Amino acid sequence: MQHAPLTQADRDLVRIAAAEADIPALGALTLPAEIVPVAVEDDRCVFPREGGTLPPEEAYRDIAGFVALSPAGRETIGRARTAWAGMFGTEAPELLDLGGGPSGAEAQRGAVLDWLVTQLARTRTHLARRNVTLTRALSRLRETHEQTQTAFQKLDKLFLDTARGTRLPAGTLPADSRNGIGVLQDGDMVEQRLPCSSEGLSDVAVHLWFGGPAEGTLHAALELVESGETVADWRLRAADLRSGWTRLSLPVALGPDPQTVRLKLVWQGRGDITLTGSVRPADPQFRGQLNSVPQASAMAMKTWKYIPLASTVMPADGHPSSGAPESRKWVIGRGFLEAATPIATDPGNVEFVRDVGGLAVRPASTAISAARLSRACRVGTRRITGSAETKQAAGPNVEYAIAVAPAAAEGDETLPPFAEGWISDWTPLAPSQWSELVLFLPAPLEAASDLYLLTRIARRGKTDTPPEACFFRLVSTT
Amino acid sequence: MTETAPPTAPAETAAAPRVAVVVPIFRHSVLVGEAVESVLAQTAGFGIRIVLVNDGCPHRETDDICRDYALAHPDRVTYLRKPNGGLSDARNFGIRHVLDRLPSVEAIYMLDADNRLRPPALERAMAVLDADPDAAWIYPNIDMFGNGQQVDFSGPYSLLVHTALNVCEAGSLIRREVFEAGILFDTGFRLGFEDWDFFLSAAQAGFRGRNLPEFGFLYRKRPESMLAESEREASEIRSSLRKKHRSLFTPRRRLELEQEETPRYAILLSDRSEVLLTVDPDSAPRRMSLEEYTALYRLARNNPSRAHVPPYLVVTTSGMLEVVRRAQCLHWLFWHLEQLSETRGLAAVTVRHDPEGRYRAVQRPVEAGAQAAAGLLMLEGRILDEILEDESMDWINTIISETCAPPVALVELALPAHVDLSGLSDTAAFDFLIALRRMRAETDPTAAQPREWRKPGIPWREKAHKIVRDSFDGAPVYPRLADGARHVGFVLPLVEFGGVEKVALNMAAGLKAHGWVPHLFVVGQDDGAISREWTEVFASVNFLSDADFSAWGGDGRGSYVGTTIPDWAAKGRHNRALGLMYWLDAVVNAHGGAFAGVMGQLRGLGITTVNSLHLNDLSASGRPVGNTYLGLAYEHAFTVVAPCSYQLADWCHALGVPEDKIVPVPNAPSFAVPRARLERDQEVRLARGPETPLRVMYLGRLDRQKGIHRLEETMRQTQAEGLEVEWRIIGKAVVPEEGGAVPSATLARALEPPLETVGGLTDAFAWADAILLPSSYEGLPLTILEAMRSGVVPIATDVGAVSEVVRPGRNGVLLPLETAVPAAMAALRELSGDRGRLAELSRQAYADLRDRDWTAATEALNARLTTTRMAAKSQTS
Repeated sequence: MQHAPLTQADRDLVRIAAAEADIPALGALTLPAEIVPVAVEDDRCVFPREGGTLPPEEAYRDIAGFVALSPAGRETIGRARTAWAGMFGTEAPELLDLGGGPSGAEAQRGAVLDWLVTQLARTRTHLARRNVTLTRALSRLRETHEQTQTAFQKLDKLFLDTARGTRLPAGTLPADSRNGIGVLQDGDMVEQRLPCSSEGLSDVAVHLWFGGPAEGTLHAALELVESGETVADWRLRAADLRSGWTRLSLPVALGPDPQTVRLKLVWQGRGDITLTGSVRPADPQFRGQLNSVPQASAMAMKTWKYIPLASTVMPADGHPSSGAPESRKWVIGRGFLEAATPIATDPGNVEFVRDVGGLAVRPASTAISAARLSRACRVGTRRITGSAETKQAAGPNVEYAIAVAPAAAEGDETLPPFAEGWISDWTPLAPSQWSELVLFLPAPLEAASDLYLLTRIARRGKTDTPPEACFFRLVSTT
Repeated sequence: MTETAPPTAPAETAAAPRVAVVVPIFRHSVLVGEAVESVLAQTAGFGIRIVLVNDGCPHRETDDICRDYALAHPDRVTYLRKPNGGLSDARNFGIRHVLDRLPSVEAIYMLDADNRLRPPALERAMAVLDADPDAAWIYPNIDMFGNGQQVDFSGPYSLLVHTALNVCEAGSLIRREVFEAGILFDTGFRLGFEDWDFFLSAAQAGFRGRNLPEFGFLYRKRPESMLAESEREASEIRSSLRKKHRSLFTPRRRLELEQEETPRYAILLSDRSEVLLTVDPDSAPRRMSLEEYTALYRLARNNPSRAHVPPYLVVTTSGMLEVVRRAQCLHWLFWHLEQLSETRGLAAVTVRHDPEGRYRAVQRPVEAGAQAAAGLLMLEGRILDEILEDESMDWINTIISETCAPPVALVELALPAHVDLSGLSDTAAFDFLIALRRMRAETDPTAAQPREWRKPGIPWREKAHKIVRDSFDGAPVYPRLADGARHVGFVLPLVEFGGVEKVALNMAAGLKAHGWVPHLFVVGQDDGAISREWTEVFASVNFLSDADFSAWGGDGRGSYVGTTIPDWAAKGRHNRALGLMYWLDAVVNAHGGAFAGVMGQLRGLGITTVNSLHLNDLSASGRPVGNTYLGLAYEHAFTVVAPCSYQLADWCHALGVPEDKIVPVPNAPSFAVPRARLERDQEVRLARGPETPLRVMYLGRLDRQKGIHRLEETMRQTQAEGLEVEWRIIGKAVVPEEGGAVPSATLARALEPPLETVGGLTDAFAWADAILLPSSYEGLPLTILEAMRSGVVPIATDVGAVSEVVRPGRNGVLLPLETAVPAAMAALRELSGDRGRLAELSRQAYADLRDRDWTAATEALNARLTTTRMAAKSQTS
């Protein structure tokens, strides 16, 4: 096996120090290492070479040992090794004293080579042991990491499967139509710092207003300022957008390393589309910037957070980021429940109950009371599930159902006729009894549709006070 | 397996790095790998050299890992090994290596071995250094990982705040020039906060830092660490910092910084719609519109760690400020109102002429809407916050009504007639409401405001004025900047018509002639007979306004050689007085009684303290007591003792004051008279023939100290004898006595009211041939000096230092105290009968006092004060 010849760089990695007095003799041995002269000046080792000196840090790094041939050389090396300890705070490398040893160039060369091999063997053994230690540590770390990942994944899946994970509102800069960022022109870029850290960030919503038809694409990107990373982006077709809040959702919440977040929006297209503004921030850092020009107000914005690095079911009104795995489950969350429209009932009978995290649709009689969740069912929805319970200890039985109908016009508060297959069975529940409701649609929805939550007092039941009939954990599946 | 390593820098950038990262390592043998990797992963387009400094770590693993990196990246990593010397020593070792061996490096970054950097960090920081030539170092916010939080240190760099809080992490990018100026880490700071010391040293050398909020520095936080250790030793470390950087912690320096960085007052001039941000109301301020001020206010309330707004808002007009300036109490008023507005929330000032011609600064009850006529209003920030957060203005609107709901401290400034009040304003309350409406239009307290997500790191920014107050235990600090002039304060318990006051006034005038700027401090009252004469000498008028102050008064438990140490001297609120006077170069205590208790502390601030002494008082039993003895008790507190006569100087020396410390300031006539007038009057006097009665005058207070009973007896005897003597008795009782001396009918018939004008006094002396002063005790009475200057022959008891100027038989007559009346009669007979003798004494008296004035009298004191001041300045520079 032919080995590549040693280069000068290779030789430079192995150096032997010797006193000036011994250099000629050592040089004659044609050793496979650089012989470095060493002297002592003012209690410090110096390593003179042609054109200057070898820097002490290189000497420390590369000198494998000292060799002495003559008594004068031995004396110098002795002082050098003492100086070395003082300079570097550690014992000097080994000394090979050939003074009383073999004579003759060949014997001496052999002795040095033996010694070098021993040094290198020791170093090799040490490195091997170190590598083994590091490999062992890595293995342990990997095992721990795998266990942590596996456990987290199971937790993640549990929350996903049961749709229990709720993206929690983290802050709102309310929409104020008096303060706008302006009508977006083709190529306009708007950016703004989010008023929260990145830790666990799962959704950001901006408020759009369409004054008329628009055609084009709205690009959005989330950037972590400190690390300079872009962690998510969206491409939203104008056709998929409406006036109001546009929610940009991440399939996995951002990690636990908190950084400053900036949202960038670029509009490519034409039409009458405006970004709604919010408050005029006291701190200029939070002003929206239109094409790098600071505006007087911030963009209206909502943010949500979840468990860092955990996956959760996408919200029904959320736009998944580019590259997000296709989601089949969609949570019809608090935003929808809070915005529910009372239908065929007193407005006071439909109320989001914060304490229970559900929507109360209180029936006053055997007639249907309903709440409409506008466009809560996305295109492609095939199934809707939800939980129901009358949150009180005593009272009449209440019947629950869920139904889907085409999106109603704004202001329409009538209960539509539900086609066969578009309304679930009525499920009677006694007080404090819980049940799941399921509606399998005959066909996937072709357009975003309204979800209706229906209640009525069971036949022959009556009440003076509408019972606290509540719906929870509504999930649609596409 | 393929080896994946970070890409090496191009050869040319590696060979000439712009940035070096020094990583000192001791015992972080594993974690250092993360630190190094984070630097190798930097995305900067310029070369970065990592300098690993093994500070004698006993773990072989440290050596292994450092060698490995140095071998694997020889063009990017340098490994230095040294004996253990501590963190500062290790950093310096690395820094010196960079300075010696890497000339291309423009900035050095300090990275501790257990911390990390995000990939764009050094590129970003270097970009800021490139763009801002005034920034010497770029420091980060601190994002902790492990067990911590994220802390915001953004906002303009403030050296003042930096003296109170360690705002700059060692993990900063520092320009090479800082190190080349000799600034290194102090190896003496082994307990921690060596970075704080380093940056304070850099700041003292004139360098300034700048924060980069998105730096990308990650700090490993563990419950037990070097920082945790430092926190335990914080008190000792802070003390070391103060000693080492003494000049940064002086009140004057801190005030300068406050002016530059965090001005204390926002002065809204409603007539100019302008807001001035300043500490010293006489100094060039930063100016802005009310809208800009409102925006600044909103920003500072939104993020007080990041932005500063002055903690006090003053509402007034430019004319009103000018009136107060003319009244020579501008700085004092701001100082005083600061304390009042803190306790009450709002402080208001009205100004008028005082019908009695006095100078008063008195707090009045708020009645019948008096506050509505204020010309100046000061309010503390928290009150402004409350008002702006209040949903309605109903509460604050009452400030212009008779039933004022907000608590207001009302100060009435009543001034003598000579103070020009043109430009006076009385609309501050109205102007304030107008300004509030405009501010409220910009400020919606209900609107949800976005806020910085990091925890605020600089709580001191919104209360920077309290850093300055730290020197005086929280007492307000007089807002006056140094202007290069020499300022001397005169402390008087009161300003009425006494001799002590006259001496102080004239001593001040004398020092003023020598180039000093005198300032008046009245410590015992809030008013005084401060006439034009006073305001022409003193550049400012100030009141201690401490209701607890009493010049004398104590329970007698403390005394020195028979003189009770006043309570206030021993345990009064000295910090307030210190905050009032720290800025002076010299302070003269003119019989201030208990104020002697402060003088030592003033001296400790580098102020030359002078004890101006006049006379020993006598107790009821005739025992000498008073300011002279109190001065002995506090002798150590005074740099100079300045007695009014050489005799009193001898007394001080005899009682233990070192000779070198005594600088007599011999009294001189207290008012100037043109020489031509004096010559004319003397001519007229000497020309009076023997047929005219001997004109004898008494001028002064009518009380027992002045020997009224002897005067009365002498008058009676001259009348009984039928001596040709014409009397004039001029004066009144100034010091009331219990059951006090009522002038006899003899005196009452001759009594004339006191003379208050120079003209009147000059005329009186011109009339007289002789003046009789039969006092029981005196210092060196000014009346005798003024009389002799005019050529009037003094006939006076030999008390105090009278004999220093009255040489019997040469220029006047000395009366033994015990036989004063018979001796006075003998003198009057002689002078009445022998006008030649009278003329001889008169001529000599005139000649002896001819050149005696206060400029000459204060010459030696001026020299001493000047020398002492120069020595003090060279010590602090």
